[in-house]
Amino acid sequence: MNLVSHDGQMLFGLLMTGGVAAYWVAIDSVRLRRAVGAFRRERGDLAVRDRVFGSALGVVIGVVGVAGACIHYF
Amino acid sequence: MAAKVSNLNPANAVTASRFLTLPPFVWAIDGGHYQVATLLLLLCGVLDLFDGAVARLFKCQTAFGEVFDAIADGLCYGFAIVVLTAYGLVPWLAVTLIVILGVINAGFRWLYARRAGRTTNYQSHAMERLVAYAAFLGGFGTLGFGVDYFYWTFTGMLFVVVVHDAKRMALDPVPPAKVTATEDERDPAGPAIDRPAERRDEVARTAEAAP
Repeated sequence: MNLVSHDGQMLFGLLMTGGVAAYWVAIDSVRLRRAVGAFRRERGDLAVRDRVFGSALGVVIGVVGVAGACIHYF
Repeated sequence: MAAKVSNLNPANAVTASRFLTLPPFVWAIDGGHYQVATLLLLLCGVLDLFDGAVARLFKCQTAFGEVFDAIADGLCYGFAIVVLTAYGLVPWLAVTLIVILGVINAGFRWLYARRAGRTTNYQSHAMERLVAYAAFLGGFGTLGFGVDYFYWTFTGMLFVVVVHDAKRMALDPVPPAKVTATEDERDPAGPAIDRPAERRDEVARTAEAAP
């Protein structure tokens, strides 16, 4: 049972992956900046350190997602 | 004083409803209806976003709900990729490593809850991002979109995060019980995350001491 063509399926993959990944890069870059600012104020706070690590990983995931979507579509 | 919230609440009902997408998912994969399977995974992911919003709307956030949500994430996304592996749609070695790392992480979470002495979910911002990534893994498999690339990059990142979180869950001090949303909103200092650590601890201690 095919709802859309193979090309449509791949385009869906590109838009979902690339779109969400690009959004993550943007949103986690902002969060990372804020978290690094908070980290400078409170170096000993484990919660803040965790936010820095999480946001940095979010940026990496976003970049991996955008790159992967482009590589596998084009 | 905040009223005690039952575990039988709308947010947990939404979380539980995610399991209903699994039987039709297996049917779709077995029948070769990969696009239908993709839509079912999408529905599961949307319900995952929706349960948090429902919890905030009905003010029914509970520690059990947090743990239940994490378990539902693991079971739904884990089940989906295991089914895809069984049908040869995704690399089995990467999935085996993902499952092993997932079990190790669950073990450390259990250890953390024992150290805390209460039902609690270790909040890892990095793991939250990876769980969101995991929601897409099933979709890559059903769509046949960059399967090897995405599965192996996920495995590498999962390894890094599990090692990072394991150290924190096993060795770092356990913070006091979380402040409920209602108490958080009442506090003139604003949301807990924007406060200095000492202030957060003070509010948490007050909340714990409340009858």
